[in-house]
Amino acid sequence: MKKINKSINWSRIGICLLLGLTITSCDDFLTEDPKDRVAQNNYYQTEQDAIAAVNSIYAYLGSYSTGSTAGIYHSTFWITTGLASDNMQNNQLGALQNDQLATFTYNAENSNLLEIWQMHYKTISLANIAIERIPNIAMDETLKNRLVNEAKFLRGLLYFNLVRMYGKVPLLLTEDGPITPGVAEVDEIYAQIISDLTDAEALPPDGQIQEGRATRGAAKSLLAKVYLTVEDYEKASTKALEVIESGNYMLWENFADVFKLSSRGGKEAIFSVGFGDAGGAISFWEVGQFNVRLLPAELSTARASVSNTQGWQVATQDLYDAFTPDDERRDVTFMTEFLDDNGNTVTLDKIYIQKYWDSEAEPAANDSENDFPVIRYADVLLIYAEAQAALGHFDEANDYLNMVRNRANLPDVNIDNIADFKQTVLLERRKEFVAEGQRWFDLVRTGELQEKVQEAKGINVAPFYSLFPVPQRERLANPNLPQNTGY
Amino acid sequence: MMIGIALYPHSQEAQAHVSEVFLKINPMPERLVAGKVVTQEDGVPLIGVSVMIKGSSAGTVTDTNGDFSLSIPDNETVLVFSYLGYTTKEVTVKDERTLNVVLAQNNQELSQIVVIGYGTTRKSDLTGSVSSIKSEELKAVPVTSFDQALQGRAAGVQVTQTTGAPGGETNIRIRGTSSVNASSEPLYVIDGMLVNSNGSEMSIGGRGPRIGALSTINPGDIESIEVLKDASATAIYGSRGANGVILITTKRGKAGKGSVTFESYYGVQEVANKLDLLNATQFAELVNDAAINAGRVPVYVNPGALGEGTDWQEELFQVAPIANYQLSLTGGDTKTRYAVSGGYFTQDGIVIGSDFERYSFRVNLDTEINDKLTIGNNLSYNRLSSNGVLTGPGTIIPGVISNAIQFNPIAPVYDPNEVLGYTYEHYLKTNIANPVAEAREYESNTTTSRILGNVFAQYKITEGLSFRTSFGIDGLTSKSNTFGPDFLKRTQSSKGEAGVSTLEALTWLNTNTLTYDREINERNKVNVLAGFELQKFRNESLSAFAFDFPDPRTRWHNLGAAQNPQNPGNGELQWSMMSYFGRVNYSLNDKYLFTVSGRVDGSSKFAEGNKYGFFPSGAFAWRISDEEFMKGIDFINDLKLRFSYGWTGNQSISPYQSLALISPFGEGVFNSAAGFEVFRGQEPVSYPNRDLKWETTEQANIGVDLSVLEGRVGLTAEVYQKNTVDLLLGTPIPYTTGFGSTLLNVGNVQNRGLDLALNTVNFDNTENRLSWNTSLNFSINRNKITNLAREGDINLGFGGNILREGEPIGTFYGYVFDGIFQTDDEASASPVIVGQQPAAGDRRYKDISGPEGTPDGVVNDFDRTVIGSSQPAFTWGLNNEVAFHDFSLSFFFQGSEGNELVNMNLINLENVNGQQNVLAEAGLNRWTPQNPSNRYARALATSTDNVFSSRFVEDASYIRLKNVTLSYNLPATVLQGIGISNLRVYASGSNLWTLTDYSGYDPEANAYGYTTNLVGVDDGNYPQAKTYTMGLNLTF
Repeated sequence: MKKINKSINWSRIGICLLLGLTITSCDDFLTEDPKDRVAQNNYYQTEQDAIAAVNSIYAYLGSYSTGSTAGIYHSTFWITTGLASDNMQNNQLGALQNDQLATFTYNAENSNLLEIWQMHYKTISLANIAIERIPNIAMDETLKNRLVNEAKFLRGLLYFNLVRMYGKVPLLLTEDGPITPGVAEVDEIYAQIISDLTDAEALPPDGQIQEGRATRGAAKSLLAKVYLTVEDYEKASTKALEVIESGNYMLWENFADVFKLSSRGGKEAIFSVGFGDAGGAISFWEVGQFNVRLLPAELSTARASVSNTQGWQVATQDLYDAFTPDDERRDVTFMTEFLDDNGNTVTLDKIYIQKYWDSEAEPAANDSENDFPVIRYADVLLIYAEAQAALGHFDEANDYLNMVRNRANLPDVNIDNIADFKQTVLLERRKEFVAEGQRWFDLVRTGELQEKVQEAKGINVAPFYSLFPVPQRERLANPNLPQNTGY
Repeated sequence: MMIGIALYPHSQEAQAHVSEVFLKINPMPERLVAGKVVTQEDGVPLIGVSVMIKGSSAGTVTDTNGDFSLSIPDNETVLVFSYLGYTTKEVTVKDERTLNVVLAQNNQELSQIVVIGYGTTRKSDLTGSVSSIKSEELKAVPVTSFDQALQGRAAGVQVTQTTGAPGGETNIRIRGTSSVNASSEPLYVIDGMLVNSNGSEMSIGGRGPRIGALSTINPGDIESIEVLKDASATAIYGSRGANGVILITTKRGKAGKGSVTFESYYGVQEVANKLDLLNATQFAELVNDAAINAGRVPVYVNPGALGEGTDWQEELFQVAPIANYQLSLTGGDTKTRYAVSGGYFTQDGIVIGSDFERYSFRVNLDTEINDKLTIGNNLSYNRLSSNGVLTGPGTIIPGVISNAIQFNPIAPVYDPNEVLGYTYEHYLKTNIANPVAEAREYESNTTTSRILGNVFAQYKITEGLSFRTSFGIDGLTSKSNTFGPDFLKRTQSSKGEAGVSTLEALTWLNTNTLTYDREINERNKVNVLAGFELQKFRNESLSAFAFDFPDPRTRWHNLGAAQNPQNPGNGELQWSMMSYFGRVNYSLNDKYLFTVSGRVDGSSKFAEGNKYGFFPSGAFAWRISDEEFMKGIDFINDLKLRFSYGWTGNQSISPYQSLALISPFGEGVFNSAAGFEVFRGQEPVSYPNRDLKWETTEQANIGVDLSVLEGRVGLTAEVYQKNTVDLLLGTPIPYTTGFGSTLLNVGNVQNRGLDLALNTVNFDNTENRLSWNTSLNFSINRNKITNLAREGDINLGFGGNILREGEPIGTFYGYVFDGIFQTDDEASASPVIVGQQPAAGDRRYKDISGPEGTPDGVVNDFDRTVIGSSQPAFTWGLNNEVAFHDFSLSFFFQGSEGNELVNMNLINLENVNGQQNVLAEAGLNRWTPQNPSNRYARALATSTDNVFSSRFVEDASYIRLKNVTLSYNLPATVLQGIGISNLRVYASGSNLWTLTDYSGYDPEANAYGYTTNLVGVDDGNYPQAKTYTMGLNLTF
């Protein structure tokens, strides 16, 4: 006989019976059973659930559909790291947070920095759920491992962003972490990033998995970058070379081809974030912002086919001047004038960034369907070159640097001292990766932030700006978070 | 008799009682007495008057002619004549055979019947704190919804009219705000139906201010409103009583001659107050000045030639009609009584494009099937439709009010070169739109139908013991349509948008009560109530939106025509409650009154193991004036002391919060040369609290009721303290959890206060037919967050609102504005906000503190402090009624003192950077070297100073002449000939005059009125109207 271990409330049952209502049981009457949502207890049980759990992580990289803010690579992240450098100026009226970044007057209240923090940790929390829950699901083992490793790649990528931007941050790795965690040491965070990315090296190579998902190549490329950042040049070289030798990636012939819509997920793309509405199949909160943000407002007035260009962020004169006229990348990257509908030249008073705009495939510009390049092959080549130079292998270093230069129609260089090489590769990276969210990281990594910003903007940047402040809102909610020095 | 014995099986007293009754019902000889009962006022026969033989249960009621006949014992007998609203009369019958009895209307406050939870009582028997408002008071002000009419009418009830939009919601707080995240709105009980007034569960949304759920109730149907304030009165409503309870009783028929009443008014409204902004010339000069100061070239060549330009407020506001018509039929006979009414109310908003319309019907019936069984119903059907305009802060583009006060006065409303002829761009700033185009062309209409009512049966089991059961429903369907054509600024990126949303909500409620009401003997009276109640709420919503309409002509009628349809959304919500409640009232010698009441509530909203809560209360009242030692004190007619103490709860949070829920949320696309691959994710959508339970409020109340000088002065004074614990608090949690906040049972809030109500008859001369009555109510409430369960504050993120331990809810926090830098040297030598490089003419902020607790030479986080509070020192209402012959004049003042308001509009209205229009005061007195100001900054095109500081916090105390009504009752002598029993005509004005220092439209504005904790923020609110009406009431 089944043991009844609930105490029975006879009066309640009596009244329920008495009334003869259509209630199956009095207890059920007060039990919640939402129809439009699934309770967590009934979830993470099938292969479909596992796939959806990992998909939810990817969704926060782009521009997720139902929130009030955009995903990580939608715009704020790469604008912030562009403005807080010698590359970008703010042209967005009333966007105080962007003005502050461009002029190095930001503090812990800066809303961009809070959004970046918030979206990174939101995404990490979903990666933690996937990494913890999926191993317990009975499903195809290969797919299971792949999904967990995708989640680990993404977690590694995000912690890599966080540790570089904010320094010591909470290192949360489980679903039920403490509500008010303390911070981990920077070394500890890097160790975890390397561990996650090393696991992710087991992912299938490019071509054997849906384009857009994390791959073995992406894991190795990111590892190379991590090692370069922590100045482990041997390992950086090894990982970069593994990517180069995999044969999965190549540079496009012309720099302009990199940003053609038809090149999305192509041979130079190692890890990219997709935007666009898939021909109307999904409704984004907003599509990408490359064109809306970067193309001049004048374009929308002068060309009937173009709409909603705002020109919110522009290049510094110093960035433009860094290109020699024969550098193919200059005219691909920038717009200083354009032809209106009548064929007349419209000269712009600022330098706008147009490289993401595939004007043939996407004449309206408003859709911004390009992918955001998190890592592309040119980056791996330059990482390898920089690491080789640091190890003293200048021949190898020059060869790989020249691959990127030659593609831009620039002649070979042959540099044999580390100081010059570092400056040259930094300049090359600057020109290659305009508006790709790299510049602030490169300047801080090489210790050039103060000098370069002084040159470009005439701003005296205090040394403490080599880390961003921990958002004040987060510190109010979590007393265990220290603030970075200077803020 | 058997039942009587069964109830008191061991009581000797009961035995004695039975034998006594036995003797009186079976006297030896009998005789018949007959007669008629009429009213004293006009000699009209009264139907349904109870005629009882004193000391027995034998009796009868008068018939349709007011006649009765009754067998009485053949000796001296006392007959008791009683009728609701009339003074009970005892007549001693010796040997008369016929008897004519005159009953006088009872205006004595003490024997007024007061509605309480699940019953009624005489005012003299009350132990708890209850304020009553009669329908006459409600009628004085033309309103869409009765809650608006409550303003200033009852002590301890703070009503804030947060928006002037027709049908908009009000904010009601009874004895302060006791919750932070759960609702602090009172529970509404309409004819026994516990009504869901939660806007987010009962409203579909749509454009503009939300239509209040209570606006579906026709105020004209209301007989009385009782406000239950202390724990003794509200504990019977258990976990829904903590914010007080408002009981609404609708009109019921009375036995007697049927009457037909027609009531109507018509009026016009205009905006009560306009802001004084710069005209075109002044604005052009400001824009030029701002450009020059920023080192740019001036924009306008000849400002003087621009003249006045466009007054955008004038263009947006209109003089709008308001009208009401109501026809009521009431009457009945001894067995059946009816009240049937129909009404139509229509109101245009003072902002173009907004209006409100309501049709209402009501049928209330009672019928006595036999001596034991009475059945009846209350049933109302209301249909309302409204058009809304978006006001308030808005997204993408702010609401129309903000646009109107900012838009370039140089620009005309219409520009023939634009689509449909509206000026499109303001040019100086991107996110401002032409308010006239937005208000007129963005369509948004909502229609709502609501059936609210119940049927009941009451069975008298035996004398004094009755069982009542009722089953009620509250069914609401609402539909909202919106359409924004593609030529509006708001629809720039959507290329035209349309949406259709529907909501269907149903509450059912089954209430079963057993009441035992008995005079045990002369000294002991007892009234016992026991009840069981089940309630379930369910709603379903569906909304569809689509963007990009190539052909705007089909508006929202063909969403399928859109080029860019959006995902449809739907949802469902359910909650249920199961409750047991009871109350014992015991009265000893009519002097010592005891009440014990309580309720056990089970709610589906809380976690397993926390579903049930118990909320008890107790009260004692002492009628001192009935004591022997008071007999000599003639000028005191009544003096009663009341004490109560008890617990109530609050459970008004959304359902499912104790569950962890997974939903499809993110989706995205993987692009490649091969095409795109869509992926969709599922993820937890909230941070679950598995220990969630209700808030509990402990309340103590001490009250005194005093009536002196033949009732000419009546005073009720009460002090109370409410401590709310286990606050349901949306607590910000670190984003490292993946979520921004969750609901926790943490924190305590305290409300302490004083309610005073004073009614005086200042003058009453029946010979000259001149009288003057005054009623005053006065409330003080002190709110304090006593425990926030965290270090530091909760920053609510809007209008500087924070929650801080030791401070009240509605505390503002920010920098302290300290005037204007007069010289560049002063600016460079002073502490400034990090990142700013001010010069002469820019704002200065105080350096209050630093990391070491002392001023540190920079203005940063350490220098933000408490800069104000929205809590008033006191609120009050004062009504005067002067009657002279057939004229009467009432004037009603109402006000609030000491409360502050954050005027977020000043972010723009004092921002003299030339990007938007500004207050004339700020624009014309802006700082210049020649005309230095210490309040208004210099014009500077590149100015980015908009930090939140004390300059936004304004004193919003006000005194308002809420209503003046002059009415004339046509003399009965004139009316009698034409078959009219009453005709009253009146003229009335509302919101005629307001005394306030507040610089915005209205000191009551609250942009976030629908929330509990965001208070005192004005941000582009719909302004209040001044209303002038003429009306008549006609009774046949």
